[in-house]
Amino acid sequence: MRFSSLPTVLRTVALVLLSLLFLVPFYLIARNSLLTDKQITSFDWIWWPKHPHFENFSELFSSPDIPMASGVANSFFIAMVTLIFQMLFSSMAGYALARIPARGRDLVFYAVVATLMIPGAVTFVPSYAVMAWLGGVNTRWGIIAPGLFSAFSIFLFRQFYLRFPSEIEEAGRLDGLGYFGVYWRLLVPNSTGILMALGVLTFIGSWNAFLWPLVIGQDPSTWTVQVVLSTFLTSQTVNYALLFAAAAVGVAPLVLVFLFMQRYIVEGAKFSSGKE
Amino acid sequence: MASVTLTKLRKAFPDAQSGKEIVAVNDLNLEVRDGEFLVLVGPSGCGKSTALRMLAGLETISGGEVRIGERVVNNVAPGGRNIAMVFQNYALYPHLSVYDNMAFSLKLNRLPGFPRSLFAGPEVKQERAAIDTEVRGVAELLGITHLLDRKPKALSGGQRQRVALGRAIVRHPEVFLMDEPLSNLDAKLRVQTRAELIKLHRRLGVTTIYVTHDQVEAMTMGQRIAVMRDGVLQQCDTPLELYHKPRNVFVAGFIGTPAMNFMSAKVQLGVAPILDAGLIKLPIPAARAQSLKAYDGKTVIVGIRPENIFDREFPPSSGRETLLSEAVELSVDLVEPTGSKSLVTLRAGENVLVAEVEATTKAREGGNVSVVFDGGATHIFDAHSELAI
Repeated sequence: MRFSSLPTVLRTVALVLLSLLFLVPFYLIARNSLLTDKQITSFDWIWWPKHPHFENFSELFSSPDIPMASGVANSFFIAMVTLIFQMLFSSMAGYALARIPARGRDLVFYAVVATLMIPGAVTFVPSYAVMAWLGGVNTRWGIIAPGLFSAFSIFLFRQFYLRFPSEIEEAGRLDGLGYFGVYWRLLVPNSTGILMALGVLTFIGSWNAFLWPLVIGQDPSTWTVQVVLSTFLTSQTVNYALLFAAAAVGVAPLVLVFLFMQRYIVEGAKFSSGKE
Repeated sequence: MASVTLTKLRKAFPDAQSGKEIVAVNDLNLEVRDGEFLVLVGPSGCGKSTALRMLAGLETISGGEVRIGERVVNNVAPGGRNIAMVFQNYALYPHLSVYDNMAFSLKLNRLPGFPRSLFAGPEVKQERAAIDTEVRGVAELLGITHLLDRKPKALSGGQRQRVALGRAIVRHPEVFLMDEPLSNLDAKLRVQTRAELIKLHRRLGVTTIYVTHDQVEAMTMGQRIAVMRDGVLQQCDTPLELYHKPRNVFVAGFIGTPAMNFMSAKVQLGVAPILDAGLIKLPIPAARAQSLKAYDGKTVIVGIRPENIFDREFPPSSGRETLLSEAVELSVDLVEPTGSKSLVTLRAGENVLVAEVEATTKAREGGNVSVVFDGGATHIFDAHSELAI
């Protein structure tokens, strides 16, 4: 039998305690979403409701004042469209920057990478001005458009395709494929790992986005889950039960994504750090 | 099938560091006959793969002309050249099954006689059936029918190699290009596959250009061999012609295992003409002496193959025509038994020579051995130009 050394045991205990600490907010969301408002604010602590108050959820989706259903639908729509098109455009750009010989190609790549150095807050107002000029305010496509292009994804795809065996591409060219054929028929089917990894990260990022959807989507019909959630906090009286039920709805897809796509999230982190 | 003609083919890269031009292939003139198996051979970096890639259209051409049959293909895309290439690491499409790998180009380019339309109707089914027949036929030829449903990662190196070949054959190209296709196989499989490739070429008769750095592969497979060095074609000839009549020191040293021995020697044309290499004095056949008149008293490079140096105790068989030198006692540096023969490394002053002698030789490391040289089998080269005299 192997005995672990004391530092290892201490380290493990510390990590377990930290993990539990990170689980506390999730526990609170789950617990509070199943309690009544009174129970939440009561001095008697309830660890877990004996009779879960599921009515919070039915009220959340049936109340005419809370556009929760459309918020969930908007969030899904925006996250999925962003995911699909960002993956498509970034992988195409990454392939072009990695493999298609063209004058000034590296210059374009450096320009793309340089945009990563600029904080998002700096470009926020100009982006809004452009979107307003294009008529994108109060539309879902206005929320989606800036997310369709990601310098970070382009960078990662380019690095991935630089390492892709050139002989496979050349075999494709000898078989009669052009650049797009090589990309679509050979590279994309062999990029499922990076597509899934970056796709999951893009979905999470898009689902969690708050400031841009808040600014662009001023009409409740364009609100995302995150924007709907924010309306609870600005009310005169806070209905904690509904707030936590809404938070549970907002966080549930991410928990599901994490549970089922954990491998790809880890891979995504590896791609990002270059430790593939 | 078609002939291939390379005329003054040139490839130059700019050096990223110095900005100077690096010439990978320099004015290469080569004609590969229709149905011929030609091997491009040379050490790493000699430009053989670059030449092949220019022929395939995978590398731009800096100068000269590539002709397949009667067609100049300099500006034709790789897919339009009607060639097939087998790569060193096979380059199979990882996401497709063996069947789909082989059928890929047929499905992409449509079979001849089938319309290129999305609404072709019944012709699509007929074409699919024709492709199926073609793929299965080639799979049977190569003995890979049982592998058709597998993905490349589930295949061994040898199996992948066959699939790569199958993918090339199924297209019925005019020319096969092979870029070191055996170098990823183990030694035994390499020899086996080498023989199969030769048989396959005889059966299909397709013009084949085969690149390798392995001169044994070149000698055994090529109907003709083109030896390259530093981007320049040194000699293109049949294997035996290259072996027996190398045009220069490089070809002489590159072709043959173990490699030819070289030493400096002075030509002395007297009553008994000899090549004087210090300890070793090699007799010159009378017929050769005539051509060496201009070199009398001058230094030349003399080459002698290891099999033409004999242990004095095991002289050549009487049936063989030889012109043996005087016996000379040389120190033995190393003895390497290879089974039927032994390779003995000898030291003769500054010269180090390798002799291939009978395995029963008494030569021992650190000792001496008495050897004789076959003066009739020497190769003589100009000391400056290194060209054969």
